[in-house]
Amino acid sequence: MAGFNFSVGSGEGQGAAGCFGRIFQAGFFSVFLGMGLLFFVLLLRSILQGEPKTLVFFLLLPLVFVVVGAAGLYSAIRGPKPKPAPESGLSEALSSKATDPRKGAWFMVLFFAVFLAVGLAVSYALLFRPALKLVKARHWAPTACTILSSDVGRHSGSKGGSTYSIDITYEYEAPGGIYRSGDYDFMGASSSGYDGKADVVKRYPPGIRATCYVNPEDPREAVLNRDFQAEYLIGLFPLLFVFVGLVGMPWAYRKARQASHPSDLRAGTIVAARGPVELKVPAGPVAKLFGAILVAAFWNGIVSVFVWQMVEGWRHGHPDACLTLFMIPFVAVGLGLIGLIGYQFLALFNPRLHVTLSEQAVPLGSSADLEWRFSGSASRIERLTMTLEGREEATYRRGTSTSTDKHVFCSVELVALPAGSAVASGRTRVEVPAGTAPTFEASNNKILWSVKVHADIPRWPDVIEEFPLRVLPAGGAP
Amino acid sequence: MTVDAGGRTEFRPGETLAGAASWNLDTAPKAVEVRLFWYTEGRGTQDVGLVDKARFEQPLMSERRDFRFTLPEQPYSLSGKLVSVRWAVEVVAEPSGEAQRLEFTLGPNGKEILLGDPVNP
Repeated sequence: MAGFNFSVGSGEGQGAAGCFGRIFQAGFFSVFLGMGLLFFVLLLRSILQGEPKTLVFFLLLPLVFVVVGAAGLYSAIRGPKPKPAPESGLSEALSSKATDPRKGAWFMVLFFAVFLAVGLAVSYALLFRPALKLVKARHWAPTACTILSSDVGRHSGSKGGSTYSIDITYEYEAPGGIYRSGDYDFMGASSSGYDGKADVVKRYPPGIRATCYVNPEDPREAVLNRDFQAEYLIGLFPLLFVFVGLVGMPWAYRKARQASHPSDLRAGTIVAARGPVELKVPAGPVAKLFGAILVAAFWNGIVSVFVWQMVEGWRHGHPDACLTLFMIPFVAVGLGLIGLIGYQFLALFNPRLHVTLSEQAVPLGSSADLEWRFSGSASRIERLTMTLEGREEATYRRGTSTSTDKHVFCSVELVALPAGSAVASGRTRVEVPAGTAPTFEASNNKILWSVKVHADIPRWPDVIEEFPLRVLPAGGAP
Repeated sequence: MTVDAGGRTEFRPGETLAGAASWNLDTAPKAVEVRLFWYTEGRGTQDVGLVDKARFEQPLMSERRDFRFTLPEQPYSLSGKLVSVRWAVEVVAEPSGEAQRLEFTLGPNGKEILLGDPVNP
């Protein structure tokens, strides 16, 4: 029998908290799965009932929910992955938990690739295909047709509201025989808003002669309206997915390439290129503005659908008080996000700060020269402070949410200047205290160093920036 | 199953950690690995980083093997309010997963770094 001097615990207790966490996780993913299935069935039913075939592309969206929900539910039910059970009384290998950080990064590449694929598929259905048809239809032959039936279709939504569609059937003669079509335009899908559709239906009462436009290459295809309409602009929405995929994939790919492989930590001196380096902020003012616009557009885009339903209810004399109360906090957040866009827009006109460090990285107990320069109207700055900060960051999961706690272990004031010419540019010495820790970046635990800058501008957004700084072990090069 | 590093538990970056792993198992393992790695403790989800390993294929049921690792420059052993980094050498039998671990500290003076509240010299 093998002998052991000491034992090692797994450190992963499955107490009541873990049990509740799994129940919560199971509930959360059940909702995900249920919603995905519900939307999938509703969409499929609509397609089978004669909605435009382009909706087939939308089946991808609820399927993403179904896959994520099923995977999460399976993970919650299965619980933590069983580990190889060592013989009774023997310890468990902690080193077996070591993972290759590049795998996670490649997973992110895949995640954004799915975003891109779904965005492209839906964009094709809602934007590119209708746009192509609109252009081609300019050359379709105007053909006399007879309206057979004409009505506004009403479709019950999953949340109790209704959407409407233009349901007009007409008959026309084209090479090959007599055809029937139910397409009014290239969009076809039902949407909210009854009045506009009722107006169209009024213009095409059953029995009248009208003009339709027939595809000469396929006479079975025809529409009554080949003009551009505002509804086509909804096709721009899936471009958001395409954008996220296009931006996210290269970012995740870079992360995957940069992620250190365990072998990178093999013995050897740490080499950092010598010479000055301009420190970069993770996101500049334009990126922050763009990010604020994206978040606000996404949030308010979703909220606006429900607000529209709420307003329609009030307008038609059957208000939904419950929905109205429920929407108040969501609308408040949306307004706050719009305010954030305004804040970030004003911040575009702030003086820009350029920070240069005399070394690419600073070893513990060593120092480097830091130069700063404001471009733009630095005279507006009332007070400038710069601080060298070292902090711990720990990321952990609680239930289905991920949180990051931070703790500052070192804060050294570098610069504290009142308004004046010295603010516009200057130089200071950055000394990293010995006895602290160098930069350390694992997936969930980090030791980070940065130069934090706060330039106070009266009655205007302040310049608040954080420039990451790499700190090496004591004695490391340079 | 034991692992020792010549009785030392404090090392400086770049030093050599030399020791021996010995085992006396019920069945002959397919392989035995001695792994040099760091891991985190504290509030965050645990990270584990394998740095180096020595692998012994088809060893006997009872054997003693020497190993030698050159220690890297980082990460230092440290204890903070949220994050702690520990170093260890572990001997692992495959495929049973039986293991034994020896912890040590890696730091500029062989000691772990203590991160407290902000200092402002």
